[in-house]
Amino acid sequence: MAIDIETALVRAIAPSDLADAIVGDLHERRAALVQTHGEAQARVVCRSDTLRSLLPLLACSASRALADNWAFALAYAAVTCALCFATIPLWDHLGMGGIGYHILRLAIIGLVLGSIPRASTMSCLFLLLLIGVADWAIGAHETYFLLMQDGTTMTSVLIVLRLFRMIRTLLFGSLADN
Amino acid sequence: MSIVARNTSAIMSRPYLGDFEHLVLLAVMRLVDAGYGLAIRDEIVQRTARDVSTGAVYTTLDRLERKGFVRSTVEQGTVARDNRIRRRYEITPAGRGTVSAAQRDIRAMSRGLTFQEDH
Repeated sequence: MAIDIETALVRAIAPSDLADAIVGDLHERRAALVQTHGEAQARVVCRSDTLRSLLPLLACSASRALADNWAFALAYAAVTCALCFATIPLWDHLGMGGIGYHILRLAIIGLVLGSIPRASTMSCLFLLLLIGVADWAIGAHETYFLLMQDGTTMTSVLIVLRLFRMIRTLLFGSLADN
Repeated sequence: MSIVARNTSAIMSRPYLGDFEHLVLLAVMRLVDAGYGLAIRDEIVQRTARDVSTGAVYTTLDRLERKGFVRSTVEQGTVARDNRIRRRYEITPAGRGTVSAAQRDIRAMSRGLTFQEDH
């Protein structure tokens, strides 16, 4: 069974309400091109169109997420940040205050924030901002290093999650379409 | 209020229309009741010889819809589209007014200038 890469890519990146119409347009255009230019040429043209479409679609998804969800993401990040700082004594008491446990906790937070539909990146950015402000307010040492470490951990988790979703859409989304 | 302040106020309140947004709105106007994404793209490609991507057209239409310059309706797909929905776009009065203002600006700025025509 041939996997329709174009369909899967558009579905993975485009906003959901536009994706179906765009995929439909690609099908319609491809069907028309097959009549005039042949199957091979039609495939090349549609693949090129899809690849050039990805960047604007990615920008569109990001700008929509920013416009729609910033208040929600900020609230979510504020609650998470408050919980992080409130539980510091608890982790120390349990003997889990070391750097390894800290990174593990941040990876779990990244995983939780990463599962928020359309607001995951923003929630993590807000969380880093709030952690930075809180670190500065309590006079923590090496604030920049801590932020870099926290940011790297959460970004890594978000990238892994995004890759996982893209692979899942490529495999199962395409199978559903065919 | 001074002339400068009045002009500044008018500039600040006027909605901004980008070059490609302008083209897309003109295409929607030309297509009247057939403003589908694919038709809009084809109209721009045929009239301007610009090779625009489907994604760029849809994201611009989405932006224009958020600005209130176009509105869209979802229609049932056809067999050629693998039964996927299609969106029909039409211009709103606000969109028409913005295009008129942009066209007026271009005419005003072009007056007295000579251009090289393609033959």
